[in-house]
Amino acid sequence: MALLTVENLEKRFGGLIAVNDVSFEVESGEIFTIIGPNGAGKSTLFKLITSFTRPTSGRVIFEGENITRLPAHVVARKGVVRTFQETTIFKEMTVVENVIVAHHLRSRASSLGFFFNSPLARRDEQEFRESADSIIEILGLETVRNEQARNLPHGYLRELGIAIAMAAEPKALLLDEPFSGMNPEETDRVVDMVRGIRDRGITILLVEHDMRAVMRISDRILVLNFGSMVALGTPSEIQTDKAVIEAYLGREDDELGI
Amino acid sequence: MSSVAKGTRRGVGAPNRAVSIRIVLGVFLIVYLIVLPSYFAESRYILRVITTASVLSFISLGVWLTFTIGRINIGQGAFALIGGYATAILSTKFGVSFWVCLPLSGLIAGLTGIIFGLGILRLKGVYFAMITLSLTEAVRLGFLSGGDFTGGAPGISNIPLPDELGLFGITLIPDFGKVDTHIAFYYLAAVLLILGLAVIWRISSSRLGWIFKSLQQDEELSRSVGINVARYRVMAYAICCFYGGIGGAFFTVSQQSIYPSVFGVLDSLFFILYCFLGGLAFVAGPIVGAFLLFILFELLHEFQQYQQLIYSLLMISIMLWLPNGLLSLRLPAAFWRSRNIRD
Amino acid sequence: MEQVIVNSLILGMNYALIALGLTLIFAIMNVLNFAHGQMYVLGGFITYYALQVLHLPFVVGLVASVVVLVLVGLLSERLLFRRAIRVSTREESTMLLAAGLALLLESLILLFFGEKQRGMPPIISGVYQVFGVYIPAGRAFVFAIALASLIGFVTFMQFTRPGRALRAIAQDKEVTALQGVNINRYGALGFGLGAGLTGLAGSLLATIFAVNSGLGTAVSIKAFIMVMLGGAGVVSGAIAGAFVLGFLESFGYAYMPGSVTYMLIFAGMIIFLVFRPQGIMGKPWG
Repeated sequence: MALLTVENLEKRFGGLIAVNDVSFEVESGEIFTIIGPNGAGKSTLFKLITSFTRPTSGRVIFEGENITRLPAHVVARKGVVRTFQETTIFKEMTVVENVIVAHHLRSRASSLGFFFNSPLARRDEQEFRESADSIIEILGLETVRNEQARNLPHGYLRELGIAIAMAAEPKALLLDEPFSGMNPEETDRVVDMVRGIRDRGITILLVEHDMRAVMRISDRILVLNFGSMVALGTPSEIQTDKAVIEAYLGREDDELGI
Repeated sequence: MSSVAKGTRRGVGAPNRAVSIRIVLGVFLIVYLIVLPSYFAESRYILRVITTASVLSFISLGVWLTFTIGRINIGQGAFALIGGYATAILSTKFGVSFWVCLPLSGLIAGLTGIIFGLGILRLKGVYFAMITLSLTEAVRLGFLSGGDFTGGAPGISNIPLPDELGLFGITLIPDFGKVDTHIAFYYLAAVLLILGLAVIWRISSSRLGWIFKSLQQDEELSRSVGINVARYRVMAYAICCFYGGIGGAFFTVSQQSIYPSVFGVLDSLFFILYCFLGGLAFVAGPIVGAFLLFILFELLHEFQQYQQLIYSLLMISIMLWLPNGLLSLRLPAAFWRSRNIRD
Repeated sequence: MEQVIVNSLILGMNYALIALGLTLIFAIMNVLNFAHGQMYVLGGFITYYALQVLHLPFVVGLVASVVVLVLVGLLSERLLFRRAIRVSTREESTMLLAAGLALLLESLILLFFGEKQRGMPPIISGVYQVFGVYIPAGRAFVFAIALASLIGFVTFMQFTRPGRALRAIAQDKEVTALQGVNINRYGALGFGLGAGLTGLAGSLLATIFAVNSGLGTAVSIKAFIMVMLGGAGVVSGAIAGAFVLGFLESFGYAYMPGSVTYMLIFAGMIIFLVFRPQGIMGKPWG
């Protein structure tokens, strides 16, 4: 059974259709990418899957459970966690503090427990610190561990965003344009990182512009245009798909990396 | 810079600092609880000023907590009124003892805060500020037009002083009418403030404080890692309102009366100003701000007609030249600091 | 009934002037001007002083109010808000700064004009009767000037270069700055214009309602209601909010005590905003 199933998802803003009858399945352990030109509805689709926006119709099923209209924080608790397009981080905290605070879902102590610093709360905090350190190590953020997040060099911001999401122990991690604005070396590093995350058993969904990276990293690709599905298949299938080339890719072949 | 702070906090310097913090805290407590009340025992006016400043600080601590979730709360006056009226009505109409009224007033204000908060906390920034300001007015008008129940514009008077609180025949707290009332209220205010500060300090330095802080910085991001944003921001707001309610109950009993215009928009703004003057980054900020401004206000009493003028010029100067508050100046910063704040 | 409707139209028109100044300053500077009500009161007192103490014609009083308030607006922008916006990014600081300015203006008004309630006779006396509805001539006169100013303002914003620049800044400050528009200068213009409009409102309304030095906060709160109802920073919203408030208030006062009316208005507004935070005309925001 698929880990994540999207069924006839649709989102309208007034008369505008942002996402139009989109259906697909994501298998466990896959790297699944959604591409499409600006305004194709990729980000809206992400928000729909993680419940940051409510769909007009359609369903999202995760591990056999309908998660369509659950509040966003409950969806995160089920294991569907997203990152953000912009450099969305907790700016007035250090890197390690960012990651520690994001461990919310793992806390067993109650609010009162934390208030009174109960043994359970102390154990939680200890665990969060250790886990945060290991996430920081995995993502290669040790050198900036104690930097204020708002002072971070640009290259580290996206890693921090991913580190925050990792702290929530996702089963499916949705990365919103993780390669945008990066030079080839940086992209290589993040490609390796994303693979590394997948190898830890986390299923990855990507929204991305950078075709070169996408073709290299993805197991399967979904192409959207004006909110509708144009094609769905492996990178090599997508690269040769007529509809895709016409609708989206045809203009600049080298952008495709063919 | 922050790594240095980190190093000293967890490093070798830590035990020394902990000791010096305890010493400073001890000196403060001795002065506050013993030296001041005995030195000024004959000067009721000064005692009353310190008492009032203490309770204003207490109320402002709540407002400070709403700042930590990133909301500008100009509605604290409303909850002081709610707490005040709760005590007034319960004690005069139902003969409930003050010692029951006091926590109950806080709870009523807190519950009201939850109900309002569920709706209005969806707003942010200037919008939240304006709506809480409107709330202050709405609640005032509500009590104004409450008929016999709230006593209209003149409000409710002849509210009894706190009675004796005993357990198994042992007097824990004496009847306020039978001892020096000013001293009694002084100590009540002092105990409230110390407890109030301890609770807020504990919240802000525990994981709860971190969650609040994460909301302040980005609610969407907090939501994405599974934090129930609505729940925590209502929690912070309810605690704030609880503080307002307790403070209102105190003033009602110490004045033995209440009327709708006791707490208005201006008071709500002043609570914010106290926090700002002390410094939003510091738990003790509202206390420093409230004491300084309130005592200053009393000193300016001499100048009668220029009092407000001087006050307003001060307020403007603070905003222009001290935007991060007094405690951001050189003080034993690590002591005041709620451990996680910038620079 | 017809009488109440006419009253609410007149009131709404007057309120529109009050709301416009606030929303303009908010849109351009992102400053919630707490001193708005005090600026209104100052405008009213200046007209009162010109007419009742110096016995000058109304036109002089009106112009004096507007000119003084434009100056007050320009000065506060230049000396206070520009610096505050530079040294601190928190919107709380400018809000509290405005609150400080409100206190300052209020105490100055108190020092100069005293604490007495000041009214004056209507500019034109007499009563018109149209279809059985009574309209005092003084109110009709104020209505006409307010309407003319409103049209003038909207025309300015729509069809002149500075007006378009102001609207562009309200839309997106950064982009407008990139296009080479001097943001500082237009910030001052917006502040001056907003304050001037408020002075105009104060001057006009002082001839109908009396003014006193303590009125400021109440006026500010009414202005906040209008701006919130209509949608903050949107000109059409301010006008819509003003007429809604005018209607609610006139109808409420006709059938209920004033305090109950306003309590219900507040309660209704809070509920309305919980479901539609952007107000009637505002754009949805995150």
